[in-house]
Amino acid sequence: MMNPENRIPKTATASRRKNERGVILLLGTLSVPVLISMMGLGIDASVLYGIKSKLQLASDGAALASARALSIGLTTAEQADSARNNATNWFNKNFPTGEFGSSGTVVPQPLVFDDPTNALLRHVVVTASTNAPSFFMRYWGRVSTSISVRSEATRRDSVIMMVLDRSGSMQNSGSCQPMKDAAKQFTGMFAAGRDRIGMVTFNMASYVSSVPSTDFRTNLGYADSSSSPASGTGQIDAITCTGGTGTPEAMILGYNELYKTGLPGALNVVMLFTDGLPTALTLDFRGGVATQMGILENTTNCKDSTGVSLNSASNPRGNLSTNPPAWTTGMAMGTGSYLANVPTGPVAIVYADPQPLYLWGFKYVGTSNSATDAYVTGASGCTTTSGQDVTTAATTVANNINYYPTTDAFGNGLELPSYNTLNYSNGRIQETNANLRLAMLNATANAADRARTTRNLPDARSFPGVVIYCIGLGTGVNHALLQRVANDGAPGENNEYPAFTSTNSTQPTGNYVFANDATRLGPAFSQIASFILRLSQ
Amino acid sequence: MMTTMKRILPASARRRRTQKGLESIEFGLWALLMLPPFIWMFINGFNFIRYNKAGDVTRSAAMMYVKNTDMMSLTTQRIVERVANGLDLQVDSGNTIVNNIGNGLVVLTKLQYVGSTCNCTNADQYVMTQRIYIGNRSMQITGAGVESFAGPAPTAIWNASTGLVSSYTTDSAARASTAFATAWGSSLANGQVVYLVESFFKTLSFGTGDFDARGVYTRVYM
Repeated sequence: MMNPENRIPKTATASRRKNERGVILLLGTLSVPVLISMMGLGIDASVLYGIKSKLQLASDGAALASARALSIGLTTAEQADSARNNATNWFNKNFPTGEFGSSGTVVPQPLVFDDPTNALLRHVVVTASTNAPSFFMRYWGRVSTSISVRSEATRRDSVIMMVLDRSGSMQNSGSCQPMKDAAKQFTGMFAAGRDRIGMVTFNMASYVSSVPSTDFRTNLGYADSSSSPASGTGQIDAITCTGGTGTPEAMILGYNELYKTGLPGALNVVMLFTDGLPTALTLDFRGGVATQMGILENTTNCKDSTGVSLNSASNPRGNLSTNPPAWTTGMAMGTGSYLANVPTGPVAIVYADPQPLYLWGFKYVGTSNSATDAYVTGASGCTTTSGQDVTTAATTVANNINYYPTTDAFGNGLELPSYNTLNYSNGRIQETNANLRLAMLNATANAADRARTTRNLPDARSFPGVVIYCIGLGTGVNHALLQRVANDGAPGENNEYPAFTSTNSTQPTGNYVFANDATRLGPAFSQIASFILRLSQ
Repeated sequence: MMTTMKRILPASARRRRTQKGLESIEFGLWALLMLPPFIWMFINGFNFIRYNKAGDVTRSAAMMYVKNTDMMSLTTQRIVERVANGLDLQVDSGNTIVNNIGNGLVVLTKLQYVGSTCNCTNADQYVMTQRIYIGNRSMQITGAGVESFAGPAPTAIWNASTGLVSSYTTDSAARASTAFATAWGSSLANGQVVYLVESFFKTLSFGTGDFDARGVYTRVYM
């Protein structure tokens, strides 16, 4: 038994230690509510953040889909309704009821209004709100937290010129009607009363069927799921297909209508459809160099304003410079045009298919979409050695052409060394058929380049380069040409053609869509519409 | 003879000796209590971070896609890869389409409603018109051989170099999944399109609450 004297006296430390027994457990237990509260706060904050993120995403999706739906409907009121429907649809899909435990979600009603400074812009504003649950904060009296988000999307109105090929090959392949159906489906995808759509059709001659108009559904015809007017009520149904393919002229005429419309705040688009190579050029044979033979030789009745014949070495074309005759205007371009008027006289279509080279007397100014329009007798001008008026009858004129001018009648350059190099003789473009075919490709590419170039309008406002979309049909198309026209570097959807590596990075890029047969035309036109509608936001 | 003197330890030392390990036991008990919530916190927190990050990736990809950005280009896919920093989304510079590396997959699908007026096989159907993959295509979002909510894009109709689906009006293989069609019902008009963007990233092998054990999945319709 231990002597009590031997007991070690308790020190203060020991005593404290005894009291501290189990303190860690106690402190730990006591700290649990604090720790859990902190964890709870973290979890609640995370849930809040997650719900807000999800709500914002849903709201963004609703706004974008809503802006896209501004194309649906015949009136702006109907379009606004479509926008609201889409907003509700998309929002509910992205943020279902009770998402992450949220409650009281308010389905957004988008606000649709015009931009105060740009009438061609429509804004869609979507606001959404919900209550995020509190899993821990509720013990401190906060059951939920209200969250609201706001999204905005804009839709820019489009001004579109459809440039449609109505050549004979379209008829022969049975593609004429499918093209018309696809074109009506295309117009049906745009907003009546807001977007503007016009149309140029072309075989050897081009015809401006309609300038860009908000009333395009009436002017051109359309088709959509809700309503489709009877056939034959619009310009699209009036198209009949025959003849050659004067692509360069049609391209630049389409651009000219966009330029005349003069809406730089809109999305300006040329949509070219063709099923083959360009085979026709409208050339102006009035040109020439003083002291040299004119472009068109061996013709008669070509005289300057003083009555002096222009077809001999003694009376070179230079006389036209000093004594220009008052040629009648063959194609008036209208007020505010980018292009100059093109007169009658020795201006005619040169057709390179089939060989040999033909100078067709078709009038280059179309007046309707009818098949026979191009055959209507044009204005008189000069006659060939065989006595035919160059603008009234088809004739072989290889012997009548001295050389080709450097541009077509609409200013599209025939030369483009980076694409196709032409043969020259005495510094002038040789009048061979091979040269002509290359010149047609070059002129088409140059027309596209001009359309994609920014320039000023007559009132000095800047008019940005337009976006060009192309649809090529069948095996006869030149993919490289259409890629170049669209400024699209992508390879073929099914690798029918390689990537195009010479795109112009300073100009707008479009898209080239290839349809291998007529059944693909509908999807191809829809695809282009989809591209445009996406760009217009 | 030297008497051996027993060294008497001070009380504090003896107490410490008797208490040796007590703190460990107490801490152990406390830790036993706290460990589950900590683990739960860690996993959930980790999943949540990934979920939010995946949402950012989905949103960024969707915004680019819906605004007509070329999502097939390597440059664009690199942007998505950078947004997904930390999620191990890998874009293979040698092959941007068929890619079996990394732990992330972004699937972009463009769908269209083909109206009943279309005189074609897929009239009154939702069809896929484009499908683009970014990341590891071998990953299966649902783990059941399905890589997208919209359904698989069969190789026969899906072009690997452009992402476009050919003949979507005539090929029944282009139709969207029943789940998608059911979800959207008859809410769209002829020709209307839906952009569906989905992201899937593998996570820890624990699933809690809303988080699937296989990974985080986010989806947005634009």
